[in-house]
Amino acid sequence: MNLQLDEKTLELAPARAHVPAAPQDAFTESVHGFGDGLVGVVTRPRGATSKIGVLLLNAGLTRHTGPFRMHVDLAQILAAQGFAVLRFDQSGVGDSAMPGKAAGERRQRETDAAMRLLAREVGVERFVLCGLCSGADDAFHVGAVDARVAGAILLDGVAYPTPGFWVRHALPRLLDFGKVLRFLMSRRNPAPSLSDFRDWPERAKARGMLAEMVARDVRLLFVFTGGAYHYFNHRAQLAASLGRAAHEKQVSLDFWPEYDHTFFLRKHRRILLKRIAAWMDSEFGERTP
Amino acid sequence: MSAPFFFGAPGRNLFGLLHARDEAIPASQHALLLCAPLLQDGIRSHRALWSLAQTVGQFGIPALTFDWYGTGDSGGQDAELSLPGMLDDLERASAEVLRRGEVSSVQFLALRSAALPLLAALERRVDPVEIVLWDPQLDGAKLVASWKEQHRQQLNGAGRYVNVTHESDEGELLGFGVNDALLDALAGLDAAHIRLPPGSRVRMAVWEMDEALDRFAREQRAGGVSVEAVLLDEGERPEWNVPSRFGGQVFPRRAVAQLAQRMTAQVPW
Repeated sequence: MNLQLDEKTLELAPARAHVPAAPQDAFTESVHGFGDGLVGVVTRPRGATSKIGVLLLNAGLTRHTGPFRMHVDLAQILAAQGFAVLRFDQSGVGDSAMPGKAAGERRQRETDAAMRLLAREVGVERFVLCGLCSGADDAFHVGAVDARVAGAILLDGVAYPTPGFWVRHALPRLLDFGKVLRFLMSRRNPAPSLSDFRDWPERAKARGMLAEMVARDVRLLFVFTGGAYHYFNHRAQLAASLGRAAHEKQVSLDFWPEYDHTFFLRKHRRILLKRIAAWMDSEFGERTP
Repeated sequence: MSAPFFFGAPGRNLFGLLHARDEAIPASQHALLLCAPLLQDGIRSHRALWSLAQTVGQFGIPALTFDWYGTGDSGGQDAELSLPGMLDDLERASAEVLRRGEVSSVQFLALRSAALPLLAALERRVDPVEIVLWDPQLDGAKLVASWKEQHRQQLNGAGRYVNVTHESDEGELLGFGVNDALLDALAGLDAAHIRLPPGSRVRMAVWEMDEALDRFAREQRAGGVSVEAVLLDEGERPEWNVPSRFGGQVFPRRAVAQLAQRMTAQVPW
């Protein structure tokens, strides 16, 4: 299922999923130390709670509150919809301690600890993982191997440049002598780009991981922004790089080239939060079979 | 070890993280309260303050990091951050670290813009206080002006948007909802005019002395306050105001180590 919702469409979304800021009496929050020195906050609905819980993963080295506190707003909005949410710091980030064990299975181990905490606290049984940038990478990796994962929200997540990407990327720049010169200079002494800090599997493996998740009926929401312009510049690129599974009904895609990577402006964050709320409602809401 | 908790008045939750030794009895009779800078600087420098608090806490001095009301994990919306609110938060955080740390006094550390609300709060005290100001921003009018300039740069000059321009909403600054009353209150603060209780001790850890710091030191000394300054390693001075670095984390590790050594008296000021 591929959806492209513009701002007007989102403004007309169902009232339940149309919450700019959650009413303060719609949720409660509790703070937790858990796992091996991890710290997080559980936001839970005051009323009936879905059996689906949400984990918000660190965006790079940014604390669990998210860029511009976005994770706090998102947690409270989803809790007002009936979803319990845990935002937490992975080891070595934000409020959590340095990793105490070997790094090998750190991602799975810490996500497992977070799932167990939310299950124990609220009684959820399955999970949606949500992350921006490296958080999306973590969600993709864990979602592919953990049967408890029912969904993933990947903000500027995994995708690979394709021939079509390079044509769209390079053609307009070929007419700009300054850009061509800067590109040639950068090839002589390349500086690290955002892509160098990402944790993507080999493309063939990523295709297999997506196919595996779709086969398990895991629901996925991909959102790409203008902040991903260096590797993603067209909606068709998702399927072109990740295979036919990206066309299946489990996969939703939004491409917002006019927005930035961290949603600096509040009006852009409002659109994102409404989109996520609407997607959660359609995929995991009470009316969803 | 560190222990997270909520504290504060009913309906006004504050998030705190107490860093302390595992042993029940602290080695120190005082605690340390660390105050985070406002807006994006607070997010960028969070881990540096965490690390400093953790090191000091492990040494036996209970250290509390906390979120202002309207920031981080504390309650309230961004726009509810206010100067009177911060003064109240400081009182409550101070009482909380005294109680949880089981100590008799508290020292304060403020990074960057946190210096202004901290100094404004401590001006109201009678007994001498001990403060560390880390790279402080002491001129409120200049601080607010620099925020507005950085906001303009982020919208138009930092390469944040590709082939499109955007305008921010009313009451929005550096990615956050910000109340005009907060900006007005901060812009009206000049630390050189704040009178700390006589006998207080201020230590400044800075990458470079400037006219505002000199003026602050002169005025405080004239009021019977001891002021010392430590110069940090210029080579790792954070690029706070460079637009392209706006989203990046700031972790000047040598400065954190220098401060931790001095806060724990391993190295004299």
